[in-house]
Amino acid sequence: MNDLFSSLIPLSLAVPAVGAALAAALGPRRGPAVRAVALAATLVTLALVLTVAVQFASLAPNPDAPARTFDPRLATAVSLLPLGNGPGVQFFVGVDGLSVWLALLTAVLMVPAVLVSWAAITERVNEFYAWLLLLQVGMIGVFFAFDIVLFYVFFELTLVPLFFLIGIWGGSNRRHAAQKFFIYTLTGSLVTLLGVLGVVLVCYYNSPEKELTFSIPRLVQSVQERLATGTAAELGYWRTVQVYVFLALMAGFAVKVPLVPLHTWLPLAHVEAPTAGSVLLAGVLLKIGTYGFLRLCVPLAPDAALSLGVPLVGTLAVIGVIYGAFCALAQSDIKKLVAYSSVSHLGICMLGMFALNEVGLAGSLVQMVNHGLSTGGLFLLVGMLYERYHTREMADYGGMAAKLKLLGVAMVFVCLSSAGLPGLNGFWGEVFSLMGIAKATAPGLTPAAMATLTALGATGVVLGAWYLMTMLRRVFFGPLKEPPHEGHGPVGDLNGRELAALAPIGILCVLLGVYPQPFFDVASRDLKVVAGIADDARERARMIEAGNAAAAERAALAAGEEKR
Amino acid sequence: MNPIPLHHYLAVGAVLFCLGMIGFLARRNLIVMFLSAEMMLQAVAINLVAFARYRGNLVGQTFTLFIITVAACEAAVALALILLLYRSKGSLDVSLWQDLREAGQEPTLDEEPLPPPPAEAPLPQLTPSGVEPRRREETSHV
Amino acid sequence: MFDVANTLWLIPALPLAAAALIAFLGPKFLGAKSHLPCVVALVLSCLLSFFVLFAVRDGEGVAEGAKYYTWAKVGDVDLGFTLRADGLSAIMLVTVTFVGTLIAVFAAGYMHGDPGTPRFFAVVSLFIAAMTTLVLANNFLVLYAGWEGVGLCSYLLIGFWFEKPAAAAAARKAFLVTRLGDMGLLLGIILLWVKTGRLDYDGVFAGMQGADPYLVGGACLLLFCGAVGKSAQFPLHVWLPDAMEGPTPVSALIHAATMVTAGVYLVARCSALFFQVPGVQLVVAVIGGFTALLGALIALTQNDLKRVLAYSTISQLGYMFLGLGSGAVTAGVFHLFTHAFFKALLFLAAGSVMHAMGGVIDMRRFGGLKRIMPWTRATFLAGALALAGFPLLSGFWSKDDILHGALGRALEDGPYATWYMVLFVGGLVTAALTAFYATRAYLMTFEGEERVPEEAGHHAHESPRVMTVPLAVLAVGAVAAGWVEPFGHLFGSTLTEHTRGLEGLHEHGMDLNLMVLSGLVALAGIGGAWYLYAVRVCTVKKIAEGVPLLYQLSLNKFHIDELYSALIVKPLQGFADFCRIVDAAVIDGLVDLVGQVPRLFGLLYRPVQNGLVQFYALAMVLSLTVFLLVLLWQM
Repeated sequence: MNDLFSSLIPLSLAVPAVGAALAAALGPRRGPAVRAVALAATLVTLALVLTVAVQFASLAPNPDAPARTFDPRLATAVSLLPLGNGPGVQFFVGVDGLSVWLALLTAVLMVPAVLVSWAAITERVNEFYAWLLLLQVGMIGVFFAFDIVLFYVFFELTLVPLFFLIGIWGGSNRRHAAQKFFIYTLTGSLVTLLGVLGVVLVCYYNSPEKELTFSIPRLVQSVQERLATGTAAELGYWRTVQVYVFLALMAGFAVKVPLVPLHTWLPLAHVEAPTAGSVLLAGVLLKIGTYGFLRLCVPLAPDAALSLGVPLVGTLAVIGVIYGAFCALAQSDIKKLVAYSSVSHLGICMLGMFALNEVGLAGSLVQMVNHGLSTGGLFLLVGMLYERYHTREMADYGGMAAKLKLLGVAMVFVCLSSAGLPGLNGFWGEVFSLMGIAKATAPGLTPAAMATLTALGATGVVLGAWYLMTMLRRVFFGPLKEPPHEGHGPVGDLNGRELAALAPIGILCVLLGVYPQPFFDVASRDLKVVAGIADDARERARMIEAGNAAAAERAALAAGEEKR
Repeated sequence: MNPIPLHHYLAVGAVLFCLGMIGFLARRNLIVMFLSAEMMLQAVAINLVAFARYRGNLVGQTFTLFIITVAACEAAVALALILLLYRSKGSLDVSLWQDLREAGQEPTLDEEPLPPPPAEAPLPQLTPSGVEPRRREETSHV
Repeated sequence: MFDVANTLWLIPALPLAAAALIAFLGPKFLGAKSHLPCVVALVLSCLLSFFVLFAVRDGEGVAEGAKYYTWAKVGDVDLGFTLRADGLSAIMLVTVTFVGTLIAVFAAGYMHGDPGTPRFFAVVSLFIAAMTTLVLANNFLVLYAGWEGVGLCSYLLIGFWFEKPAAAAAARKAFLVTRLGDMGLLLGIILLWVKTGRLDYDGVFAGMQGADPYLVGGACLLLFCGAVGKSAQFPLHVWLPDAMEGPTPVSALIHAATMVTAGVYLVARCSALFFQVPGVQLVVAVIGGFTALLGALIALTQNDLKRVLAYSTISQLGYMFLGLGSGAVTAGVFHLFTHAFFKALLFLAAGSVMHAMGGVIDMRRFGGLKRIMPWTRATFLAGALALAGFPLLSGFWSKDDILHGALGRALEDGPYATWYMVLFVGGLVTAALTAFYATRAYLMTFEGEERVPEEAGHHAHESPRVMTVPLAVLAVGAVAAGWVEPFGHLFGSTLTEHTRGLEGLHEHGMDLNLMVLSGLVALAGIGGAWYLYAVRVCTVKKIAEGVPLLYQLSLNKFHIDELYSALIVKPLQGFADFCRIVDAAVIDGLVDLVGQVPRLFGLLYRPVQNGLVQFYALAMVLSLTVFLLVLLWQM
């Protein structure tokens, strides 16, 4: 029975791929058929991923799994490139607590992405949906991959479709945006590739039986074993190596997240991308960066994550929270405002992650999903508004809530979810991330420093409300002021298709806000793994500090004796 | 029998190669340039044959056969291309085609342009008596 | 009959269900009948609340909290959706649902014919659901959820007529200013959690027992930040007067029963923490006392009837905090309780006036309405006198309690006795001013020459029965609600004997001298207003001209809004613009600069690519030659 379920994961990658091929083959003139194929492919994929998630949630934890590494369930592993004495590079896919919700989020967000492009994309329809579905393959693949090379391949695979989606169907400055997006993220991820190779080789040279492995769980386990059993000299070596590995891996992920100051490709790409592209870019692609941190950076370089996490990433994240919020506040373009809000929200996500305790990690993970839902929803709504009036300038609008009632209600709802109102999803991400960072400990950092970070992070809560409410007031409230819209026919409220696109997001926002426990339950095992790895690192740091202190004491004693 | 030593062949090949090279670099007529290139190819072929004989195996000869075949195909393709180029500009001067230069680069022009070619005498044509022949509108110079 | 633990969740759930019902069915099916689910749910909630109150008095409350489901359990956070019913919750619950129900009934008449009726009643139901969640919560995050929910509903209700720019701006302002305080509350909760590892009240209070006073003080100050925001205390009081842009029942709801009382409730609930640090208590008392005086001073000169009441709310809330800060928790909560009645009454009566006057609320444009609106006039008078602290009416008792508490602290041999003495005197002055402006508002509206603005048309009339009956009920409350304490200590005993953390706080001293003093002060204020506004009307102008600076300051609300705009909002907006420019010019500029580097390299080598075949061939030959020469030389 489990075999049947584990075949669902490769299938959920194959379905969109086949859909993409089919859509491309249908040709540009058969728009309705292409759309139907795309919708069918996304719905089937959603059903498959949902089944995987439900099945995963119902599985009893594996008692034999090693405590300090990931335990992919429903896994499929096929050797692709046998290297060394092991299976080499594998097509190794599976699901665990960290990936299951993000994969589901991807599958859910694809449906609105297809629906919202229904009427908006009229040129080269087949190519559009083919790229969109190919993008889905890449995104779902990243989350399901448990082989580091496969992960990287899927990671890069997401770039190409989005490059074309922005470059062909984007706004007026699309070429520049696509180019910048592509080159910027590619440059970052090439450094990440170095880090990936570095990890694999370091593990290979240092493993006693010279095992060359590309499997992420094995790599993590190998690193933990070396760290647990190493002598003082070996530990020193590992600590140096980890810093390089961490920084190299971080390069690509930090661009993707994006951490300030590596974020400038994001507003441009968001503004120029077609609505579906923006939704997926904000909803899923940015999560690939945060997910990369969680899946690779922290477990493969735990000591470096502990020593660099808060001072480097945490500081950048806090700067991002505040800076992104202020940038959002000053924008006059709605889409840019939402784009900068991503910078701010993901800052909170990174802050929670590098608290490196279970609460913070849980907050970070739930914040990833929340941000996907609420910012995805915001981009959908902005796209719908844009489709009606063909302007993104806030000054052109006013009092739209009187004319577009449902759109207004939906916008208020999504803004509240984004602003972290309790009872909706955004709350958990913010609260748990902040609680995590408040309680975090790291060598060399005082509780006061953590309290400062928490307080600064919490200003994001107020600033977030500020820019979102300002946007609502300018666009939706006040006296009605419609932008000129000759030639588009009468402007109506949301239609059934648009409601269907928004409904899943709304339902999930409420569900996650009111009853988030299943989310945490399913993720808890793997969150505990990461938190445990970090705790081990803390213990090592404490030992080293104690050792240093003892050495200093001995030295002082010796000096004292000499004097005598 | 006193076989001609290897270096004689190589010398012939080298001379042929240099002639071809100089021809390729110095002449601007596309067909002449193409012929020069063919000449360099043949120089190489001579070398191959010479070495094959020197070594006493057939590898070099096999290669030469290949070269001849390829050169024949190449000639077909190249002459076709040259024909197309000629049709588009009505001349065989290679310097007329500089389209692959970097954007923003000025085309290289002759400092002293060649004098215009002398007017050709009209081609003699047989005419039926008494009637002036109608001039053909399209005249091919190939 | 019922089991409290099993019925408690119904109190917020019923209004929530009503809200969902109206939201989904309202616009299509319910239409003008949208108030029915709301009123029914609120009446049921109110009955349940009374039941809970009686159960608590019988010692059958659930002070340890009834857990309904696990909200979120991660690592060392175990957060249940847990509600508790003890003395404090039960009293708040009854106040909220009872006054809320009357306001909803009134609103059914007031909002009649407005196209947005379904939206209005959906949000009102949600408002009560959030507020009851807030007071029933047994842990800080459930409280925070209710707290934010209340903020959201106030946002939606203040911005109910969102086409008006002023309403849209006021709604945003209310949300943001209170959110600023909420940030403090959230940080306070996190601080308490970090130190104790718990989120439920009992666990936190037990864990903080005997902790570092600076830590407790810091946590208390952070919590108090939240209270300051929500209860509109100086310096975050600026949102409340603007909140008048909403429909009048909303003002009543926000000012009397829900929203603003949340801050008082929070401080009362956390008494166990505040009592550990007298310094922070003094801060609470000073902020409260100062706000009370400030609000009263501003209320003196306002011409908009609703604004007078709004500043009076700020002032009265300050009074409550003065009581809480003086350690008189019972007195503070008691004033909250009586205030809910008379302030709801005053707002609804003002709404009734506004209804009749065609939306005009400027007191200079109407007057002498006692003949046209006898019911409204009578009830308003009851409310105004209760607010003024007229002897034996409800406001008198609770205000007296607070002054008693402050005086007690002042006469004690405590570290801050002098401060409390000043606060006590300030409280007395405020009481006089309160009596003055309450009487002034009454006189300007209902007495004197009859004047009706033209917006009212020719048929300015008394409001319908559905509006006057709630007024009458509230008037009875305004007169009599205060009697539960002096005659039988019902209030104090419920609060202190059935609430964990408040045991033994009930120090009831009927100080007859003080009662006489405060009664005289109130009467002096009333008399003064009577003299100036009914007997010698022209003197007012002279006085105003006599102290132009003070008058102008009061009329312009001490320019606090302008001050904030100039000192905080404008610089922050400037900073935002600065960030935008930095982002586009500096950060993105650097990125683009890096992108230009390969292009610059390309420029260097561009001339080589001239498109001449023979040039390429020459380059090939030459470089091959060089290569061969190097090879030869190497050999």
